[in-house]
This record gives sequence, structure tokens and C-alpha cells, in this order.
Amino acid sequence: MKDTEILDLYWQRNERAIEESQKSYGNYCYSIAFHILHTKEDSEECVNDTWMKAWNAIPPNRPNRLELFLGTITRNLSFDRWKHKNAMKRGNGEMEATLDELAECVPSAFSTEEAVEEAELKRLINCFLGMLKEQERNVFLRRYWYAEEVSEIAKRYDMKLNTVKTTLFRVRGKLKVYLEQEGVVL
Amino acid sequence: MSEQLNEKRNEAIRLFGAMSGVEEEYLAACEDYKKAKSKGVIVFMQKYGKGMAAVLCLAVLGAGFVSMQQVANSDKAAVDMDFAMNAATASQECAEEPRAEAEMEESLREELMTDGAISNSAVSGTASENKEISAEPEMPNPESIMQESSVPAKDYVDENGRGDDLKGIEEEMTLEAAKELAVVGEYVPDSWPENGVFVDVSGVRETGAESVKILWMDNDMQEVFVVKVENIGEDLPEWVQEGIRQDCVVQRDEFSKEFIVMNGKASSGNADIVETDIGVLHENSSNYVLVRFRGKGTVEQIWELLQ
Repeated sequence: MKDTEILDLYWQRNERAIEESQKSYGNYCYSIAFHILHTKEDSEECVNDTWMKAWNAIPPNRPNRLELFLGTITRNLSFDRWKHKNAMKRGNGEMEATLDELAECVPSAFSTEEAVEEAELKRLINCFLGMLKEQERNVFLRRYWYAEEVSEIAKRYDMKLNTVKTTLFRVRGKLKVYLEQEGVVL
Repeated sequence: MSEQLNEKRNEAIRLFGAMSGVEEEYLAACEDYKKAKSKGVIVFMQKYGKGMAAVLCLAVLGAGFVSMQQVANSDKAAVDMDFAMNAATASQECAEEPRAEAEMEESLREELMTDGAISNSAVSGTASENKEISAEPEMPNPESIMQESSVPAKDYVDENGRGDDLKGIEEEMTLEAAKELAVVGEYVPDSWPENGVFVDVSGVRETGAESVKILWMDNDMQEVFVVKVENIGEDLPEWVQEGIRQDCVVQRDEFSKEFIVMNGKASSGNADIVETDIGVLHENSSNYVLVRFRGKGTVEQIWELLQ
């Protein structure tokens, strides 16, 4: 079923919208959730919660790309769940590795400065992404939006493992420099 | 966890969360990025391009001939002119086909090029994870084209081609964990080139097939340096023997600074820095361990790394 037809079902408050969303994007959303949570049960719960959130969000929203709209909901739900489960402990796992890498991007700052607001941080990240070459941006998003493993990214884009690693390393360095130049405090 | 580490982690969490605000167009491009742009079209054109050009020429010439036949009572001169024009067009198309093909390949290669291409001293080959590529005829790896080596080409290759991939299940690890591996740990370098920024350590823990790979980049983040430490077993495989024959792999007791100089090429802009791709073979009681360096450094730095 096309996105427009699924969206029409949402707008008509026809519960078939959920079923069709599951059919079309269930695997996609599950993949996003699993990359963050790494457990089947938690991932499935997040995907189910995604449909509920989407039901409440559409209408009034009518997203241009339903896949990405749903994926973003799943990502947010999954990350919230991850934070809740892992707030006080530091374990192993891919999310830890991902966060360790992102920690390299955190600019040095004086503690007396005010932390940047969420909306501004998002705007800056988008500005930064706009400055990147397409391949760099894709690799960066695969790692830090989709939380994919480096080997998965290498396979997806037919790149060598080293190239993915060094691309990520380089872009992280650029992000740190960019945030520092913008005077960002996190 | 220390307070500072905790703070960094919280900030990283904040960054990861903020990534949810990435614009849809960037995510869409990420989703839509086609593998065909990187390799499939190149393979297709290389494999079938010339054949397609020949078929196209024949088709156009054939169409011209058929049209000539159909217009039997037409002015012969006009028909001859049409035929000649068709033939000329066909010839032009045939001539342009390889040019278009080459232009397409070039533009695709340019798209794939990043400003952090692997060091020129790295002559890459087919990566081990791309085993399916080895079945495709004569397709140059776009990354290897970027990485044209300035080091005198050596023919010896390792089992994974001239790439840096490790054989087995490669996992991220700390330098400390790498140094604790039973067979190869003692050969993992303690230092790295002064002009290098540490990037990453990964390794294979499989008993009998341990290996470690350490990546650095230069300060400008343009070039990659690699050390691979591999347990290659009790007997020397043919590819290592070939390396010895080619004088780019040497036994530990024969390793010297002169060997580095002999196998290195002076880096442009800095006479003290050499580019090289060499291996030092260590022999313990039951195994051979090969320590291989690919990158740039002073002779002294490389000597220290491979001791």
C-alpha cells in the first residue's frame, strides 16, 4: 500500500492504518529499535508503541515520508527506553561504543556557560551535516542515527572497514571543531 | 565512573538524542543511497558496455539499411545521404560510448573519493569481506584507484589481498586487551608515529588465528597508517615466502634501519619521512608472527614500532 493510502487511513481513523504501517515499515522500525536496544522484547515493544504514537500524531501531521516519520518515533522511543534501563550503569554493547565515539565530539567548554538549547543543537547538527560530502554524511548517519555497526555500514556501502572507521573518525573530529567554533556547550 | 567521564557520557547521550532532529532530506538521501552508484553500474558498464556499443552500432546501421530498402523508389541520392548520416551518427555514437562510459566511471569514482583517502602508501586490493567482488571480471576497486601508491609496487600479497582486513571475526578492542592476546600480544606496538593520531584497535581472538590491527591517521587526517600483527601459524604460507623473496618481509634478526630505508620512499615535502609497506617476521617456540606496517614515519619511528 502506498504511503498516501496509509496516511488516508490514519486521517479516516481507520485502524487498518496500523496494520498497513506494520506491514510496510514493521521491519524497518524493528531494525532501528534493535540497533539501540539489542533485545527482541524491548524492540518489539518500542515498535508497538510507535504505532500508538503515530496514531496520536496523524492527524494533524501528514508527513512527507511516512517511513522516516515512523523511524524517528521508533528511534526516540528506543533511546528513551535505553536511557531508562542504562542510566546508572555502564555496560558493554554497541550503544556504549556509539556513545563513547560521540563523546569525542563534545566540545571543551567552561562549566559556567549555559548549555545550548535542544532546538539550537538540532539546528547546528543539521548545518554541520549540510557541510559534509554525501558519503561522509551517510556513513555518519548510519552510525549515529541508525546506530548501525561499522561492519554493517561497510557492507551496506561496499566500503572497506578501515575506510568507514577513518571516515567516522574524521567526521567526529570535524563535528567537535564545528561545535567549538559555534561556542556550543552541551 | 569518574565525574568527568560521567559528564562526557551525559553529553554524548544528549548529542545522540539531538540527532533525532536530523532533517528528513538527509535521512531520505541515506535511505535512497544506492549501491549501484558505487559499484553495480561500473560493473555493468565494464562487463557489457563494449558489447552494448557494438549492438547499438549494428542496430542503427541495420535500421538505416531497412529504411533504404523500404524507400525503393525514392531518390537514390537522398537515401544514400540518409544512410551516410545514419552511419555517421552510429559511428559517432560508437565512438562516444566508450568516452561516455569512461566519463561515467570517472564521475562515479569522484563521488566515492573522500578527502580522507587511504594513504598513498597503501596499495589496496580486494577486501576480504567483498569476496563476491572477486567473481566479477576486472573491476577496479574505486578506493584502490584513489590510493595509488607512491611506494615501489610489491607483488606480495597477504591472504586478504593487499587490504588491511583481518581474517576471522574482527572485533573492536582496547590496546590493553590487544596486548593481552596470548600469541600476538607481545608484538603489539607500544608507540605510534609522532605524526599519527590514534584511531582504532581491532582484533581477532580466535585461537591459532589471533591478529590485531591498529589504525592511525596523520595530523591532517588525510592518510591512514596501519600496523597488522598476525599469528600466521607454524609454517610460512606462500604469500609470506613471496614477501621474503621480494625483500619486503624480513626475519626479525635481519631487520634493520637500512631495510626500512631500502623499502621506503621519501615523502614529498619532508625528507625525513618515508612511506613504506614492510613486514617483520618473528618466530616464537611454535608460531610465526608477522608484524606489518603500512604508512609513513621517520626511519626511527618505524624501527621502534616494529621492534
